[in-house]
Amino acid sequence: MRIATIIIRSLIGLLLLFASISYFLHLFPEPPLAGNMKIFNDGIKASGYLMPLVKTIELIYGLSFLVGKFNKLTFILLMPISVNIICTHLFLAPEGIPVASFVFLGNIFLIYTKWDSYKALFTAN
Amino acid sequence: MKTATFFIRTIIGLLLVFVSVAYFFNLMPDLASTGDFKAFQLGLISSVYLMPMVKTIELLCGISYLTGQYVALSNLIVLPVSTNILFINFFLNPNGIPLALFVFLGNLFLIYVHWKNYKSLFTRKSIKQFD
Repeated sequence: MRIATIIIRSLIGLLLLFASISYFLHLFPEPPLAGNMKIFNDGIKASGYLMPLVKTIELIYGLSFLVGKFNKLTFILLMPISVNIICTHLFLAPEGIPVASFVFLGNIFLIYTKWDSYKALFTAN
Repeated sequence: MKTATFFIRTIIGLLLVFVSVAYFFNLMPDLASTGDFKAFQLGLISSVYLMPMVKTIELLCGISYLTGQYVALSNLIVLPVSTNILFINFFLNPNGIPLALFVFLGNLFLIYVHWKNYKSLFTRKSIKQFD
């Protein structure tokens, strides 16, 4: 269990770092997009703030995952990003579904490994 | 503090339920928007899943706030929503800033009030078995 945690944590951390660094340093040309995905991406760019915000968060969380610090926080705080990544791919870009589901399921698994510290969140009152 | 909590929780709950019900039953006319804001809204709608998901979250968290159950959980779940509402209004729709600011600060206040539920997130040591 410990090894599985380390492997999944490191892989997701590397993915996040790769995604954010290649965004900030413009390492890859943008692939041509079509249809709904294109409108969605144009909308995100028009907001001005969303891509930089998400990529900054991915950078910080990627480091946190790799190094293993502040994991209790970042495991649960990554959930909005991983949910939206898999939903975007499910609805708009099916070729990315394998990687997206790996990130999402890995995130759920990591949350499960720290479940005891999250129990206090689920009190009814 | 208790009445302030109840007051803010109820108002934000009503706001969230109102906005989400108005979306699901098409009760509000669309605002005319221009330029970047329009492109952003088009992008949101073209994603197919985003608006329904956000409005469902708003509905559930609004109900949670109004009934006072699972508030600690809803605080965290609605935090990305309120943060982005604030950012969107700040960058794209300045006349919505007061309301967005109220929802965001109210969310932070409710998190502060329930802080002891979140304290276990900030511990350094982890459980021995799984790490």
